[in-house]
Amino acid sequence: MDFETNYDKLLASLTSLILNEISFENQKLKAELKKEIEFILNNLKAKLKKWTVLLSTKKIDLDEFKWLINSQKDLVFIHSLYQVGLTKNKIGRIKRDIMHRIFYDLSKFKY
Amino acid sequence: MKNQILKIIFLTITLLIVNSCSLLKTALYDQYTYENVTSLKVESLHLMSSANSPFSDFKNEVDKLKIDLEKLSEYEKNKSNNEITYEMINLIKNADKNLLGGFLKRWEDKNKLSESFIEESKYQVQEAFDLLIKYELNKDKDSISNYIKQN
Repeated sequence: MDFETNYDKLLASLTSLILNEISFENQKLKAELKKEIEFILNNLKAKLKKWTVLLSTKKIDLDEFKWLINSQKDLVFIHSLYQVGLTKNKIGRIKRDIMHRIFYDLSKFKY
Repeated sequence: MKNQILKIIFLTITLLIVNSCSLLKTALYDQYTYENVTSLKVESLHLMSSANSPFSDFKNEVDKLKIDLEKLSEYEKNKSNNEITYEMINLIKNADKNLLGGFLKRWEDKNKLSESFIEESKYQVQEAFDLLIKYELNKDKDSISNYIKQN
């Protein structure tokens, strides 16, 4: 079996394993999380494939291989911070638009 | 009387929204941060490329880079509503994590690193810096008061 097939199998089983571990009442949230997990694992796929080749050709050793895998974990964490920040900015902007609208209406209102 | 009640309702809603906005406040875009992070990214990647040489040859450059990262971290720590940027910088510079800080520690421990490992690590560190830069660029350029004045 080649790397692609193996990895796709691993991806599917990891996704279902994670989703089964956490119980969700909200199906929409579950679907969103599934998308997020698949994004993370797909992103890792190309790198993992490259690092596996480097390991098998002895261009990097096992310790370096593990180091790189852990660096991906840290990168995913930075990415999640980035996403949280973007959402926070977006909601903040919507609220400010609402506030602006209210100030505008207040100034035009005939008391 | 009716107008008075309406006025009170409007003001109450406004106050509620202003209050909830403060919970969602994020630091404003900072040109100094943007320039500093961009410059640190270039310096870091350049220095990482030298990790196939003995660490001792580059100890001074590594120390300087570490101090610059500390300075940036300290600057970001003292800005209000800036937890995300601060956390991102700390992850990049932390010697116990596997990004720039961890790479420099590994270089010091091993004295020399392999070409392939350096290249792959550089991609990882570059991605981390790019997210930090993108996040800074996404921040609002003006304060709420300016926003209201302009509109």
